[in-house]
Amino acid sequence: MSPAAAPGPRTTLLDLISADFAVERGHPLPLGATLRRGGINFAVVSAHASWVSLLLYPPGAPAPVVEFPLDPRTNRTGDVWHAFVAGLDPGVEYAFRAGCEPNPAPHLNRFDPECELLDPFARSVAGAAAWGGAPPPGHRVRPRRARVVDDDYPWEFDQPLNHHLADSVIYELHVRGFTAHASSGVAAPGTFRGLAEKVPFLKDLGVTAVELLPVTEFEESTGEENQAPRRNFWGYQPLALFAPRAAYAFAAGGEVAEFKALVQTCHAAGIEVILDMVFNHTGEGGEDGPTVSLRGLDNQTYYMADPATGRYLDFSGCGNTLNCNHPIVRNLVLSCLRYWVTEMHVDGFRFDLASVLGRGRDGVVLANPPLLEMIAGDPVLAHTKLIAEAWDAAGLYQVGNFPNWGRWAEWNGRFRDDLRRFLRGEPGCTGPLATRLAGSADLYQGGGREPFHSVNFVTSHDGFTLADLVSYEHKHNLANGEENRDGDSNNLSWNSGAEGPSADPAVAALRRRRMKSFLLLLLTAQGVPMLLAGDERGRSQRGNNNAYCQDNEISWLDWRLGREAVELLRFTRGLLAFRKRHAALRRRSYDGGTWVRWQGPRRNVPDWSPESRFLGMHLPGGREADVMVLASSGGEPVHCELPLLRERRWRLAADSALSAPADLNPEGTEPLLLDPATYTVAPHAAVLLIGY
Amino acid sequence: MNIDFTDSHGVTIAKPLDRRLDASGGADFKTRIGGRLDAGTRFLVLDLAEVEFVDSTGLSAILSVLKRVPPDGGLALAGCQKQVVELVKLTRLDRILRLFPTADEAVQALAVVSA
Repeated sequence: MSPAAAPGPRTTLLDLISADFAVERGHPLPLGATLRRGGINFAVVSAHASWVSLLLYPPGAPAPVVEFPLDPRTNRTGDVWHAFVAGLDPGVEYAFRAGCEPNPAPHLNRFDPECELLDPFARSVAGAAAWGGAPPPGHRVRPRRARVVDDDYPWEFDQPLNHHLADSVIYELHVRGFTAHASSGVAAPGTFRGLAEKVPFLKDLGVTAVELLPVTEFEESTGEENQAPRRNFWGYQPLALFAPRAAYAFAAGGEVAEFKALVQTCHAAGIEVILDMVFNHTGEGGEDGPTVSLRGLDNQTYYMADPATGRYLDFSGCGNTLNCNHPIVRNLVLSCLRYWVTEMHVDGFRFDLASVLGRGRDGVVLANPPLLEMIAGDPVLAHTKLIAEAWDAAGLYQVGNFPNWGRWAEWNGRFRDDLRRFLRGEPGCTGPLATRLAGSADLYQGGGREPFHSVNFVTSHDGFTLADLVSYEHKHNLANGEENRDGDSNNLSWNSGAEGPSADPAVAALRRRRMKSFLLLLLTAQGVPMLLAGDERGRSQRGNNNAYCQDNEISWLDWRLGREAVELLRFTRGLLAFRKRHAALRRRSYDGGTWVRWQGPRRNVPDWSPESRFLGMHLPGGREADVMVLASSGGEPVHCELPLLRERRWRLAADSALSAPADLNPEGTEPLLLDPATYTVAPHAAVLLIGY
Repeated sequence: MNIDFTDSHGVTIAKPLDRRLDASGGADFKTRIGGRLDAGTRFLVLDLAEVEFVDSTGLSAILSVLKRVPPDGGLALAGCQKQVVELVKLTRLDRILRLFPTADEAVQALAVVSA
């Protein structure tokens, strides 16, 4: 028998390489695995390792077939370890091993020579192609390794759309949750491809952007599989920031191409793709968490730790904090953002717990954080939407004063809170409501920003859905397995008369009205509205306001439309069409606020008193139509005197208190008001009038 | 790179005479031994008795040679010094490369196969 024909690993390795195979010095940049003529360049940073090895695997192999120690004399430039491997093709999988001997500071250098480490720049990750798998015995997470991918993709003329932020309407969704339900009717449920199949729905709805909960590779196992169905469903446990999640691919290993196809499909429909990116921490967790990548490569570079004890500083609430303003980490983050824009064509980012990105190496809040400034001023990202979740888990709340250089927009948490307070009838909320509807100048004008830097929302993935906001006063999170301790207890919600499901038609009607009122105010406010997926049809999570671990019907969108869902969907679609038609609702500048007139029930007379539960907002039209928004949070009808128009008459565009089809009148069909001078606003209702 | 070639029982023995097989000589090593394979050599013994140090580049040159050995041929390493044996184990290539204490033993093993 010939040794060359021997079965086993030998055949496999030799299948992987060509006769040109050679391990050469290589280049320190770019970091990661880069296809070059004749082979692949590998480069990884470790400032504290004394040795690094490159491990190669045939696709799907359980163990490396070769481990090349990198020679510090030839394969190291500064703190970058690199090699060029000739005679190797895309598809090969790779990892690193790193160590430090002797280790001068074991509490800071957490090397583990046993670990096969994932490249922080991995663009594709093998090892967890299906949802719901459990780690094998002895592992805390499913072992993953980087896969070298070819970037070629038939983009044709696709590029980021660059819609003006002021014209944007964002729709926040979870890729799996959006189409996993059997009722979605898609051929590829729960995947990038499944979402692409639903793009016609999104276009018809009228949103201009989808904001995807994290789609980078993450570990969903909580290590508590015996307590199924608890899993990290949302995805805020990132393991590889450049790699689309493998389990979001319909065809195993196809996640990069399928993500690109999703972006291309969205763009063809005029819809932008915004990614929710988690740069504040990683899925490696606390000191006792699994070593997957950064911890084993260079712990003290990548994570914030107490230099004396090595204990992690935790500003994320997730066990570790990425050392974002270290130059090496800044480079990681910026390279990652550029990759998603240049290679994946995404249009924007929402930065999870973005205030963490403004902390220095010791956790101190910086006045001018280098990372945030780099992102704001980066030429490649100059037209990319940048949206901060302007707080962190350690009490830093920067809504309105996030370091911004005129570039950063923010999730406006005060918009959410003030609308909720008003619409549950709290006193003293008319003034704050007016401020929010007019674009939150109190928060954004001073720093040189404009109304569109306020991303307005009433609900997001984090908290009650819209239906639950009007159906529950308390969170109901027992299904999360923490005895209802998890999740926010301050929801500013009102259940409309009964907690949870109710057979009382009056309660149901009030809830329907209040949902419409929220939608009407959200979609007529200055700023950028963000809708939570499913709120347009009244999706409930049964009162669960922290469904991060519910990979089931609690989180999945049910596409079956009952009568109420049809009505709400039509109402939402109609409001979005109205917003699109009327630039007066999408101002690009504060312009001193002279374009709005406020009033209470009496014509031209604002009522800012604490007892006031009524607000009228008049946007005089000039050459365009006049627009009037009326909002009431009181328990009695309000007879509102309307502004007098010259050569125009008020017509009813929408009234949340009416049933379909009278609740929403499409363009050109708006009926004239019976009484041109007054309109009666029902309790807890919001009304939209148009004057032409 | 100096390489001493001898033939024995239908097997070519290639013996590098330099002390190092690394980035500086790896390409030359591949070219010269590859030439022998192109000329029809099927069975090859690499006698590394004189080689004190092999790095990843040198090892990849050996793998490249192995890749060029025809399917009905064979390759074996002989006389490897301690550092080389350790590197072969460390890199996991002991599962692919056959190591023998001496060139004679390697020739014998390959000659049996070729017979």
